[in-house]
Formats: sequence, C-alpha cells, structure tokens
Amino acid sequence: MKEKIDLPKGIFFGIAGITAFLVFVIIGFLLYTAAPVLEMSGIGFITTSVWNYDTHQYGILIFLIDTIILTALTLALAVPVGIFTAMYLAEWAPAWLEKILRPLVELLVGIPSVVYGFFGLLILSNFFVDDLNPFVDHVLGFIPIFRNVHPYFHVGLLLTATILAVMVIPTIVALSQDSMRGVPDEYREASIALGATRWETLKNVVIPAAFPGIVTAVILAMMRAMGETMAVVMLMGNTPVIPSSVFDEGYTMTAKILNDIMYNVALPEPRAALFGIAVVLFLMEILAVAGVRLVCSWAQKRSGS
Amino acid sequence: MYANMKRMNHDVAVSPIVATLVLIVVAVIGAVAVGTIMGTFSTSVSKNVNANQANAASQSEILVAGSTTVDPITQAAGALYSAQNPGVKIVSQAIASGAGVQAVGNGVADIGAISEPVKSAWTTQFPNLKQYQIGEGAIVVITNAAKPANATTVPQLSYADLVDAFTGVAPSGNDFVSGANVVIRADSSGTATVFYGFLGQSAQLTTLPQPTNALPYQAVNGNMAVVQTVGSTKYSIGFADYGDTMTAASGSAPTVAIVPIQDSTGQDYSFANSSVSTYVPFDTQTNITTNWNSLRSVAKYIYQTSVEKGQTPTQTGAAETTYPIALFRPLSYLTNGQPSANVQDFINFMESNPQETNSAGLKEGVFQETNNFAVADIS
Repeated sequence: MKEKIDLPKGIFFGIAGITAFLVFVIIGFLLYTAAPVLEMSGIGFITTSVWNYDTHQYGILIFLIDTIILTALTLALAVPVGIFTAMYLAEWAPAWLEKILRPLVELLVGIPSVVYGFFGLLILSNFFVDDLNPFVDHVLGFIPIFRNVHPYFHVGLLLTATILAVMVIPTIVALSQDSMRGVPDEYREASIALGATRWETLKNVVIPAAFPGIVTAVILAMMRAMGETMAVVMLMGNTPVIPSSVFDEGYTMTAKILNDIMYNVALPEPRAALFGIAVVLFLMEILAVAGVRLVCSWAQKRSGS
Repeated sequence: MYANMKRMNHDVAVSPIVATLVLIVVAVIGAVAVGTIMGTFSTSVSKNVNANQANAASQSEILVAGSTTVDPITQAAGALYSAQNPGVKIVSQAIASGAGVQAVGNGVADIGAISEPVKSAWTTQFPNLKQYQIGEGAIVVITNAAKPANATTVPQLSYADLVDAFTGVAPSGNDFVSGANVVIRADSSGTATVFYGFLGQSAQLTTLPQPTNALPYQAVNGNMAVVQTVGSTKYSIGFADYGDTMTAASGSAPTVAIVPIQDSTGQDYSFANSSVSTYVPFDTQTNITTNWNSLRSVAKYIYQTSVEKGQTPTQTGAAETTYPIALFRPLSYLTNGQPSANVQDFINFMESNPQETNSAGLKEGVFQETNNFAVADIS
C-alpha cells in the first residue's frame, strides 16, 4: 500500500521549524557582530565599569547591576499584586465581575511603552516628587535605601519600577488566572469535603497545582521587564551609577544601547560593543529563566507534589 | 443506490498535492484575468489624465533626520513646501545631529540635519558628504523659572562654576543654591558638542563623574526634553537651543528662564529680557523680540565674517556684550553626494527663508518663527 504523505504534519513542522530557526539566526547575528569586542575585552566586559569609545574600554558592570536591581524591584512590586489579582479573579470573583475586570487588566498590555514613559514622566512623577517620596523618606528614611537622595528629580528607580510593574501585571494576571482555573474542580471539592476553608484550599491545593503556570507567568514578566527600553530611558535618569536608594537614578543595559546605537551603528568597534551588551542581556535572560525553573522544581520536590 | 456507491468506490481520490497545484494555477490565471480587465479600464482612464496630475498623484517623501534643533524648522517649512508642491511629503525625525549624519551617510535618510560645524571624522567616514548651511542658531543656559539654580544675588553665573557644574566637578564658587542639579544630553547632540566646546572641552560629555559635592545630574534625549526637564525640576540648570527654549521661556507662565553667564575671559553677558511680551516692530511685515534682534546682529556678523569673508570672527568684532560667539553654531543640511532634484529643490526652498503668515496676520520667516536665524536673512 502506498504510504500517504501527512501534509498537515509536514506544514506545521515546517512553520515551527522556521520559528525556531529565526531564534538561531538572531542569536547568531548578535554573536557575530559582538565577537570582536567580546574577544578583546574578555571577562572584563562584565567585570569592569569603564565605558569609553576613545580609549577602547568597554565594561558594563554598572549597567548590569542596574538592570538586575530594576528587574528585581519591578518583580517585587508586580508579582504580589499580579498573583493576588489572579487569585481573586479565579476563586472569588463572580462571573459577571470577572468578565469586566479581566479585559480591563488585559487592556494595559496594549498601551505602547513610550506612552507609559510619558505617563510616568508627566503625571506619576509629580505624585512621586510631591507626595510619595517625602512620605517614604519621612517614615522609612532611617533605612538608607529609602532616603530621598534627589528630592527634586522627576526620575528614579522606584518610579521606573512602578511603571514597569504596571506593564507586566497583565501578563502575570492572565497566565496565573488561567493556570489556577485549570486546576480541576474535583481537587477543590475534595479539599472542602475534608473540612478545609476556601483560603486553605487555595493555599494548599490550588496554588501548588497551578505552580508551573504561575512560574511561567513570572518568567515572562521578568523577561519583559529586563528588555524594556523606552520607558526606562525616559524615567531612569541615564546616569551610570549604582543606585544607593530606591529614589536614586541608574542606567540599564537597554537604555545604553538605545542612547548610543544611532550614532555608532556604522562604526565597527562601538557597534560591536553595543551588540555585546545585547548578547549579555540575552544570556542573562536565559540564566534567569533556568534559575527560576530550577528553584521552583526544587521547591515543588520539597513540598512533595 | 448500491450500484452508485460501487461506481464511486472505483474512483481514485485526487492526491492533495495535485489538488494544491491545481488551486495555485487557477488562482494565478484568475489574478491575470482580473488584472487584464482592470488594465483595460485604467488605460482608458489614463488617457484622460495629463502629465502634471500624474506627478502630483504619485507621492514622494523626503526624509530629514538629525538635530532636534533643526526639527521644528524642518517641520514648519515642510508643511509650507508640501502645500506648494502637492505629492511631496517632508518627514522629519529628531534623533540628534550625530545620528542624523550616520543616517544620511548610510542612505537611510535623504537629508541629515546638524546643529554644529561638520566634524572631520564624518568627512573621513563619508567622503561624499555635502553641506548646505541653512541658518544659524544660538545656545542658552536655562534654569527653572520658579526655583532657579543660581543664587538671586548673583547677576551672572561665573564661567568657573558653569564649567564645574557641567563637567561633574564640585563648584568652587558660591553661585549655586543648595539642591542645585544639572541636566545634560544623553544623545549625540550637536548643541552639546558646541556648548562643551564653549566650556573648553574637546567633546560633549554624556555622563559626568560624581565626586562628593559635585552637582547631581540626569541625562535626557533632545532639546525639548532638556527644556521640559529643567522646567519641571526645581533648582536645575541645563543648556538648550535658544529657539526651543523660547517656547517655554515666553508667555504668561514661563517654566524656564535664561541664565546670564560669563565667558572664559570673564566678560559678562546679560540677556535683554527672556520674555516675548514686548514685541519690537522690525518692519511693516514682521514682528520680532528685542533679544532675537540683538542675537541676530551677532549671527549676521559671524556668518558674514566666516562664510562670506573666510575670516575668523572675534568677540571684539561682534557687539561685545551681546552674546558669546562661541555659543552660536551653523544649522546645516547634509546630503551624501549630489542630491536628487526633489531633495535639491527642498534644500533651495529652506535656504530662501520661507515665509508664512502667523496668527497675528503678519508675514514671518519660519526661522524667525522658531527663534533661529536664516542664512537668507543674515547674509
């Protein structure tokens, strides 16, 4: 009997293959362009902090640390809010309310990041400078990281992290809620039948069962926060210092690339250096994803699920 | 019924590959047929259209990329040019002078707009670069209008403190109030290159060192961002194009004020008034301000001395207390090689100082309107 060619399988495999191939093309292009400077600087590229085109010194330590600090602060703000919102929508909200709230949250995804930047700069920054910063400084100023070091600046780490948190909360909410909804109702019913309260059911049954989905949500949020450029350029101050407080400024890797790339795109060495930053950012994201998944699988094994 | 089924069972199903190929062939034939039919319609329509209308109907676009100083002038003149030449659209991208040079050199933009003298590094990188100077501009030091960075007892900001503030050194004098902070440029700005040249630096600084007691700073992209940031940040000081500054320094509620400064010789420069509330009629057709007029006389002296006579302008040659000549700079369009006829036409249009009627019903050049100085006016 003649073997039939499985055409649908072939077409879908081809499309999936093209998508995967694109990733390799982009990585390859990044590495190829960045290779000269990465070879020249070696490990000093990520351990030194001097960045000077004239003396051919390229060190991104400050940009690297600033990116990590900003991402960590963004997640610290976004993850609790996102997950608690998802919990409410999945477990407590009546259907009619969930139908209203969820699309509203998802609308936030559609707003361009430059609009977020303007919102932060023109509206939110006034609230921060006039009200929030002095209040936090007054209440928590004895802790160095809460001191209002630049009382007049309309830029800062906390402002940027707040705007980025608003940007990534929809991702966390949507994926976490779907993941919690995907937990079979039988689990909940069994737990309640054993006498657990709704909160205990949520804490001990639903969340652990939905954990992989929640972790995926956090990973995607982290990658969006790490790669965000326009809003960060407008709100972070573009000064290469390691912030001494949440109200201090900084300079992330993406902001450095954006500010310098237009002028240096045709010069081989500066271009290679800027692409080197992109390579390091990419590697950071891979490591962060791997790290988070490792920690979570260890946590799941420990909890015996 | 069963007889029909038996007959159907003997038929061989068409292979999906053959079916797809047949579908593609049918689609191509269909497209060709539709195109031919439409073509007969369009031929009959085109016979009734004359050549000028056809030119107007085809949209062409001229991309001008570069200086944020020149951007408002290009936008204003571009609107005038498109009104006179339907079918030509002028698109202006404000990405800073250095990026504009790279864009035109790499063929991304038709024209590169710069607000500084052409650097030798650019002509080395792009040997076919052609320069067309369209005007002159001035740079001013600005501060927050409500809460200025300079102490009110200080009539002029000393040169030493000015240099210290913008180079990340703790100011040696007492010209600044407590809480003073600095706004600089993060992009490849022509304005910044010229300003730092005035401060005695060989190139602009996009980041400053931060020893103890140096004024804290932030870096932004574009002249308007500097003006907006200085206008909203108390006790801040920055530098920006005079034209871009006037949008925020004038009117009933100015957010920035122009700071009187000294130059490296200790010469004081006061600014007549940074408000445009007193207009001085220049002639029956235009309406200008006192200090634009006095800056114009310096720009005229600089252009006529350097471009027309080929000599070096000196501060004693200009009206001495008007403004430092080192804070003036040529505004130019650059092309990579000989521009096309369209582009050359637009450049000629800009060099002629296009005029438009302003809200008061008076004729005003676009350079004047944006508080810059047109070559056609100062030559």
